[in-house]
Amino acid sequence: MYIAFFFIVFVLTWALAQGAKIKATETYYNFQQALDYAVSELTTGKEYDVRLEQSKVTRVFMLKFSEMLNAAPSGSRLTPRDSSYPGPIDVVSIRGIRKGESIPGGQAKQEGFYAEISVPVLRCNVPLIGEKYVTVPMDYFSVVQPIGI
Amino acid sequence: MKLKGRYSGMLSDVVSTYGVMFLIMLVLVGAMMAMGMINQWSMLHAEAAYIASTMAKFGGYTDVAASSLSSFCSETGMDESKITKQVSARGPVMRGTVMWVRLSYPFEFKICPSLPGFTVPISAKAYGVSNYLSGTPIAGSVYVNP
Repeated sequence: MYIAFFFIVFVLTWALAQGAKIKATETYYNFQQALDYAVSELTTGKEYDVRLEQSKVTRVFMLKFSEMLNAAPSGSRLTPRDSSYPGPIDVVSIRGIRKGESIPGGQAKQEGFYAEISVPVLRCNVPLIGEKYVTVPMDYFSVVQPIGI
Repeated sequence: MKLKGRYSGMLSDVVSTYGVMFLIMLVLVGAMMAMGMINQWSMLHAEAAYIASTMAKFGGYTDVAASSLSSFCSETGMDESKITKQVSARGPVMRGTVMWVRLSYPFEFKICPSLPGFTVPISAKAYGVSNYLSGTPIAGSVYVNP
């Protein structure tokens, strides 16, 4: 009898994990789109320097990403207005990377911006400790691809 | 299930064994179908994200997105007429506008075609930011209704 109980608990846990995975994947797609736009807006049709545009890219990215997630940006944190995410999303860093500099996973072959965020996907109430989030760290390197005007 | 006498508990053992086996089989079949549903859901998300990226590039829902959706349907075996498509704007929209696409599909829970099943709606929403500059020539793509 116990084996059936364990089996059902296992399947339920698996379903919960799959739901969290789908949520995280969905967020990652949107994160890529927002960063790609922010990078291309700041580098299209003008002279740029990736280090100097860093704060502007961060600002545009926060604006567009918060509009996508229906969240309120404050500092480096996006607080969702509805219950689509269990907690606030942290924008850890956005860095301008020059050609040849090292990024996680190798060397940058082209200029771009490297961003890291951490997204909460599950919330659990741990007794005696309090609320804990299961967060998924995400990173993305968006290369500069200006549109010719 | 404590055995007391020589024969007591034998029948209940037999019944509970089959009962547990039946329960495990039921959960197993359900989990397999749920796995299929989650696979389809993930695929739908990926397709929605691709359509959102084309919408961001061309500034609206173009025939590129429509043809990618029909090839996606033929590859994954989904029925294209059952997919409902919603977009924020048909296009072209201004650069910097956040746009979204939502694909919904009724997933059928069915063991075999003769038995009645039930459907669960799955939907995937993906966002893109329009990167379209008016005046940019778009080769071979026209705006279509989703």
